[in-house]
Amino acid sequence: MKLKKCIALSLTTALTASMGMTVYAADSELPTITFTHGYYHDASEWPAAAEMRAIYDEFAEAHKDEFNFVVKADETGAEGIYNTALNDLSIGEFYDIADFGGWDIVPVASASDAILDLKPYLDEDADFKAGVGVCYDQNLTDDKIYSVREQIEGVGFWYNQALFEKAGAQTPDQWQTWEDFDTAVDKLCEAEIMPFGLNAGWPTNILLAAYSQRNETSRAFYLNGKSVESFNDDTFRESLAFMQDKVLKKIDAANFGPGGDDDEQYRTDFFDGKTAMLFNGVWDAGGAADCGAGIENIKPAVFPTDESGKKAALLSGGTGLVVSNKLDEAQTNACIEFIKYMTSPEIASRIIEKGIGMAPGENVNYDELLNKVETDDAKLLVQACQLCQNADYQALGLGNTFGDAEAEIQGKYAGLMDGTKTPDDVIEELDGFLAAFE
Amino acid sequence: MKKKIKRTAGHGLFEYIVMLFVLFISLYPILWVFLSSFKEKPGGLGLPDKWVLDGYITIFTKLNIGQYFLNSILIAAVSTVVSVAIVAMSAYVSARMEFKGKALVTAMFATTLFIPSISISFPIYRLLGNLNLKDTRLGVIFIYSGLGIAVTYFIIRSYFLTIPREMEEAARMDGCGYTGTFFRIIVPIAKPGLATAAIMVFLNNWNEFYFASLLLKSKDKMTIPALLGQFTTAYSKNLNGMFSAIIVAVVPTIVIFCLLSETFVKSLTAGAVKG
Amino acid sequence: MQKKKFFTKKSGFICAFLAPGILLFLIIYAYPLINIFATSFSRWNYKNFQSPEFLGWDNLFDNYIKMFTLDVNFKMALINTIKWVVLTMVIQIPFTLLVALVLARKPRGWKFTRNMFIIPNIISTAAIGLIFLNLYNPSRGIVTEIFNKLMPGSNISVLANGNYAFWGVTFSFILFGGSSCLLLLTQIFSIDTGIYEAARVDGASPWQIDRKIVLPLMRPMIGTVSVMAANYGLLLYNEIALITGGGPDNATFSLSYYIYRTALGSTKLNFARGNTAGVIQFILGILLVGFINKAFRTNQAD
Repeated sequence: MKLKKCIALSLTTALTASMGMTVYAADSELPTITFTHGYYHDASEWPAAAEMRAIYDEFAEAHKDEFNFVVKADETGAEGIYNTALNDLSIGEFYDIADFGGWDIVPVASASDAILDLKPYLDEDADFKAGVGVCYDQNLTDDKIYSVREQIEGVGFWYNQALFEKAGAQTPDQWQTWEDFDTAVDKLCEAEIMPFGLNAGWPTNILLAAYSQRNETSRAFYLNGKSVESFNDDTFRESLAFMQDKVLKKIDAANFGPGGDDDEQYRTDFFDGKTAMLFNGVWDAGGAADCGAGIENIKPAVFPTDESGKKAALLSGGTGLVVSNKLDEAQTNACIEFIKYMTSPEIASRIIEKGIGMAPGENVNYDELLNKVETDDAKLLVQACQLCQNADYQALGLGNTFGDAEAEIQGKYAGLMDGTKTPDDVIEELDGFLAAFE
Repeated sequence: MKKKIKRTAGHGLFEYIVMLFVLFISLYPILWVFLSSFKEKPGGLGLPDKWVLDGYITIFTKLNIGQYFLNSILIAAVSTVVSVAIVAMSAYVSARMEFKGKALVTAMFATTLFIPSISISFPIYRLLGNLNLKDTRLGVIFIYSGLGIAVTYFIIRSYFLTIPREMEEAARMDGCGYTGTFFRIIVPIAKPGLATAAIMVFLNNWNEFYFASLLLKSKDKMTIPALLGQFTTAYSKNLNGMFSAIIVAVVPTIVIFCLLSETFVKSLTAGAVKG
Repeated sequence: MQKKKFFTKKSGFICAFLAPGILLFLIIYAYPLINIFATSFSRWNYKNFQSPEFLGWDNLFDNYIKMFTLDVNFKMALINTIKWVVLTMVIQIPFTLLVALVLARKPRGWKFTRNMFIIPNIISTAAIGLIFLNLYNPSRGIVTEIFNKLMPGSNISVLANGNYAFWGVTFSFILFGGSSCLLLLTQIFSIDTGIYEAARVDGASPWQIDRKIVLPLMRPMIGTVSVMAANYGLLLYNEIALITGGGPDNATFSLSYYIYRTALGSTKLNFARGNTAGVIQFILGILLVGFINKAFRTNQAD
């Protein structure tokens, strides 16, 4: 121990001597809260990041007489914030308030009793509750809500109307059930138009998650995904069989990528007008601008179900804003004030209008927004958000549902596609994965 | 006539084939990235149709690239000196002296090889938190001084082993103490080995990203590898920028190395033990 | 009296010179090392993140038993890691040695070649990973394009197929022995040139000299670079994280990547299991060094 102190002393002396330490003199009169986020990118790289920073700064400025709201960008992004939080938790610390994006810090942070339950605050303010929309139900576990988010992943799909018409296929807006999907895919294939590009990951996961919403029993199994004990379930087997016969076997190897962040071929092909459908979120309206397929041909859609005319969409809030439970009352109130601000209808409209993403709230006036936005891709985004928000069934994405098993599931698509694996094999392998971690 | 130094010419062809192959595998990937960084749509064989400089323009005008370099140089240089000095002392003792627990010392350095960064990150984070060194360059320097000590140890130790014992014995006969022998006799002779180790440590630390991203959070303290993440966002990817960033991150390393390696070669030949 | 003083001076010197190194080891490595071993016998995940819980003497080896009997991903990781270690010894070391012997003859351009060979080693693995990821990408890379020229219509996507992906990862590091080559060259040049001349007078060809004289003298350094290379294969992580993400269908898991995916890379934060794999990796490493040291007798060289 003495040794440690010695090192500490010599190191800190060296530090102050050689580099000079910056000592922050905070205004002691006002409570100070530090908010950490991952939107560090330059505006030229990601305009959304600059817009988010502006939103934060405006809040800090508006409340500068009440508290010091320090906004800090983490150059390593949401993943870096997550990793730092884990390290902090190991020594019993936590951010004041931070935006974790899609990185799920909640299970460990709540088990470590480090974060604030937002439910009481949501329950006492109807506007606040409306603002967080689907996040309320999605993030409710054991009667507590530890995180809400100002933007969510809204996922339906995109289609190229011109290609559907060329093939004489019924367009997705007219589909009543999944059978119509099958028929349309076959029509496209007959006309030698590639129906969609997929890979061992994201777009294929979307389709599997969406097909899992087709009827009540399937939805029940899917809803229980977080605590799934076995994949040996008839509806899941049917879903895999659908993926194998009606989806993966309809395309060739050239249209099936390895997956991962780098694999965006399926997207590029769609926007180049080579494939008829793209399974990706509403934010990809931006990809339609100046694309080879022509923005006038690109339309948003949500998924059919087996209940005639009913539609399904995937809405995943992810983690988002998390507050420490070690703050004093004034600090906590400031954080709540900030979250209310972030989920207010004004900010929600701004998030959609600026093409940042989709807002979770039920209090967004989409018709008004549609008139307000000017560019074609912004209009597409508004339409897509509206479709997702109005869908009859809204479910979480595959990753939010099955956790680590998502990576295992997506590994099996290639085997289903080339026929080396049957749905039963896949189920056996997935159960093996679950058993290894019981 | 230095005929005796010259090797026979009959093996020329084979030697050149090997060298060409080495050059190809070493240079092609980076040349490909270099060419691609000027393409509007990076990738593919062949030259750019139209030369685009967008990625480089962003890096040099929008990002505080000078500060990144300064931080990298400071952190890598200081930690290299500290690391090589500490390890050289231990390696010398273990290469030359007989003492109890000698095998243990070697085993100790060897074990550090197999401890992945992920496993040491929690305790290190805690330690730096206690020392108030989170988000400081000094904290990173401290950690870097201890990273990769196994490799440094083995390189330096095996170099010490090639030095004939007679030299030290002679020095000690002349009344040199142990410390004196080490600094006056061994270090100058071992210069090539030390330089080799130093270059490797420097480059490793220059490229290290895991601890840098964990410990450094402020923009003014980030190091060069952080550049690589600047062009990939959750929703889009600027390929042109990413390829340019690879080049900007990589070229200084190559230039520094090529410059250093010349001085290094001289010390290499000068230090070679004759007789 | 004289003798005793001599002894104390020497041991004082030994202690003083070893102290900083040992201190560094204790601060940075000793605690984590104990931690890895201890927690491999514990229950430690997101539920009790701040306080690992000992499994009890009756269930002491639970983590090990489950990992070896039930965990398919661990098996895959273990097999792949062993393959990569063997491949570095079978491909990288002989190749690097050959290059070093060729360059040691100082053909025209040897310095340039030597420097260029080191380039892939000195640029960050993050950059190398990104480069190979792009090279293998079917739309913007070159590998698919080249194969299509050789075998029209083959449309090989390196990373979509388990077997190809394994070799894709392998070739992102296996030929890059530049820094080992530098070390070997340093050693060759430190060999007394008088020995060569004597051999040449006896009429030995350069290859004979290399085989009979140079190689035996280089044994310690070959041992050192072998340890480094094998260790690289043992700890392989960045290339996998950046190029394949362990896929397709977990075909390119390595032990390090398995540890990441089970511990930090999972919301379940199963550190106990991750550290259990860490212990296995550590033991493999010790065995490997022991084996290589024995093969090259680096320990007896002094």
